Amino acid sequence: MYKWIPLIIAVGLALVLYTAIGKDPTKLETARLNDPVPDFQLNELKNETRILTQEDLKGQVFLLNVWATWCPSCRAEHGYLVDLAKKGIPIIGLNYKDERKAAMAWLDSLGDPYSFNIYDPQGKLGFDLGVYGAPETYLIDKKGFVRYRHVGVVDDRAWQQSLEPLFTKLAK
Amino acid sequence: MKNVLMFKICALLLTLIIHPPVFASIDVYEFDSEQKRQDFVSLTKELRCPKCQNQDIADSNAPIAADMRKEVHRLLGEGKDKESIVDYMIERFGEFVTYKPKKSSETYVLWYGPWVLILIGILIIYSLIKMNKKNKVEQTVSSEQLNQLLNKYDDEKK
Repeated sequence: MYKWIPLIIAVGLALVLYTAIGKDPTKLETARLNDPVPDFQLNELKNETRILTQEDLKGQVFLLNVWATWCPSCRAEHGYLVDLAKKGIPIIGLNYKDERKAAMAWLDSLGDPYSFNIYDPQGKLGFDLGVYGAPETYLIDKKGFVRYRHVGVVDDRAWQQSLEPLFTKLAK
Repeated sequence: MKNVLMFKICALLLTLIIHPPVFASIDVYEFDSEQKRQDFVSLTKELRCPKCQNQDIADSNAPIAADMRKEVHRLLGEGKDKESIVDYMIERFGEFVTYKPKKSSETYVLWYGPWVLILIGILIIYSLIKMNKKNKVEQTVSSEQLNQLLNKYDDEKK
């Protein structure tokens, strides 16, 4: 009987450790999942006088892309976002802790995939959403609820494997 | 020549010994009470930076940690207590941000796992000691039996 104890412990440990294999520890749970986008009141990036609130986020399924000109990975994914917008996917930008001038110059030179941009220089809405690093891309449903969060660059793989299936499902 | 070198070495060692402690976060906060200052210190040690895995927000240079320190300061200024500030952070960043996770069905293993392991360890040690004793008892019995056998053998020989 007792000679089996080390084996039982080893197998138990192996099972526990196995569940963690392949998990990326830098990917955190999305605390806001299935919650509405938090209250906010911020200007539009290109049109300073336009005040945006969460009411402007209701009525359609869309991607909420958190970006900034200081973020190198945002530049990497920007071309892909422009392609997605051309395919007719609505993308709203959250310009996060950035400068208005630099952000507008970026959109002029690299193309503008966004229906509009929420200008959040203090990172207030970003903080309330739980953004811990740009780029992050949220999938928001018609009622303005967060349904998915992708941390990191949106590319072919991220779009086809996780974002697109959910997008099509929600858009039905 | 030698003296100059010794002097330089001593000077170097001295600067290493008396240099002021270096803190990662250099922002300065003011508090209207000593209690709030203490709450700030303990909260920033209890909250974990979401970007940098295993650093508290007091220790981290990441922009998100700086934002979190700023929010902790702002909320303390509004008169929020420690518990509601931790809840505020969990609402945004998830259970990950606290080094003291709440007791829930998901975290029971974290809270009680070590005690279960200690209990199992005690049981194993206990049963090992018991087994050892049993073996010793058997040994004494068998040596008595051995003596009897020897005596018997001696008797038969006489």
